[in-house]
Amino acid sequence: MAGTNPYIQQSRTRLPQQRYRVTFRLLESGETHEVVVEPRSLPYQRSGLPGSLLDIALGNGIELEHTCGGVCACSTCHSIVRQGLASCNEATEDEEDQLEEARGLTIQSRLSCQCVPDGSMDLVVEIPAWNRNLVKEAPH
Amino acid sequence: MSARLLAPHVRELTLAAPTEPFSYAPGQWLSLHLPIGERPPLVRAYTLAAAPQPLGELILCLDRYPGGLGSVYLFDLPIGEEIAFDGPLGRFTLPETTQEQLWLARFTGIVPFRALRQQLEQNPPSTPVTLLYEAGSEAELIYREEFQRLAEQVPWFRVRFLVSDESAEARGSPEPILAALPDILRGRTDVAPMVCGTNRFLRPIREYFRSLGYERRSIQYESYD
Repeated sequence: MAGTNPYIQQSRTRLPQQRYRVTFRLLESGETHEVVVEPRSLPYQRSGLPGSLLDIALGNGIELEHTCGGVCACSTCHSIVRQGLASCNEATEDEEDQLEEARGLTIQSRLSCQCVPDGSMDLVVEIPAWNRNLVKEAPH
Repeated sequence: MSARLLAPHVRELTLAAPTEPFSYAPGQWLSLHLPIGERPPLVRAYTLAAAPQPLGELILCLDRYPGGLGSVYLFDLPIGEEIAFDGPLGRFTLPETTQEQLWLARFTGIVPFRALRQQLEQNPPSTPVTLLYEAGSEAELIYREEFQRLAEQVPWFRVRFLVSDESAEARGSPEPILAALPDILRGRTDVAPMVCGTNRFLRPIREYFRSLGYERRSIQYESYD
């Protein structure tokens, strides 16, 4: 990686047209944050796909690990979408490749940087406690 | 820290050795924590542009993209500043294979290959390595002389440079590489491909190899968008 993304690929995602709610449960700290997503506020354009869970979290002051900067190059933003997964874009093979490196993988697992809800449902998202540690254990 | 320009908008940064012991494999990247943005740190990933150095310096390379928070900050970063980082990370490292390797890069996608090349210079492979490297201008073929020199010195390394002379809108296209691949491969399906660039560049090239019968996971890749 060289750290720039000058040729951003057209996203296959659909941004929400209506207000919806995301509840983030941070299992490491035990904190719960509820965010009301207003379509006009998206994207926050900090990291991850526009309108992604990572974009929403960071844009609302919820610090999720995202070691690669949100470009689908690591698994540190692993999240588990307990509710509302059907309203999210489908995971690509690239995302699935990265997810395989995540600990505690479930069928509801996504990378927060790649998971973009369309706003048709409210979401409940768990952030596993061990995401941070996995980074340190990457083979090198 | 020191810096040099590799192209008008490409800067190489050499960071002094970290205060704590640090090791990495060529091809890996660092997660930089930059003190910028509305809610610092801004996290951005940059590949190490060299194999481990004798004195432990870390070398990064970045393209200044207008409006890109991280790249603009690093491009203008004064000498002497400190940078916080995490890592090393990534699996774009030399494959454990006896297959001939085919490296495909566009523009700053050459960065991890520079580190991998240095690794192989220290421990030459038993099978050939071929690099196909494309950019939109001669100036953007960064590190070109190093690769050219090696190709002239050793039998195991070959390189072909492509200058696509594209319009700005077409930059990032995989077409020049895709057009050159049949001549490089000549019907072979037994090389080990490694590809680095943007997803716009990577994905069609991966699909090309899959159309030749390659398993998806046998195509090593690294994207940066």
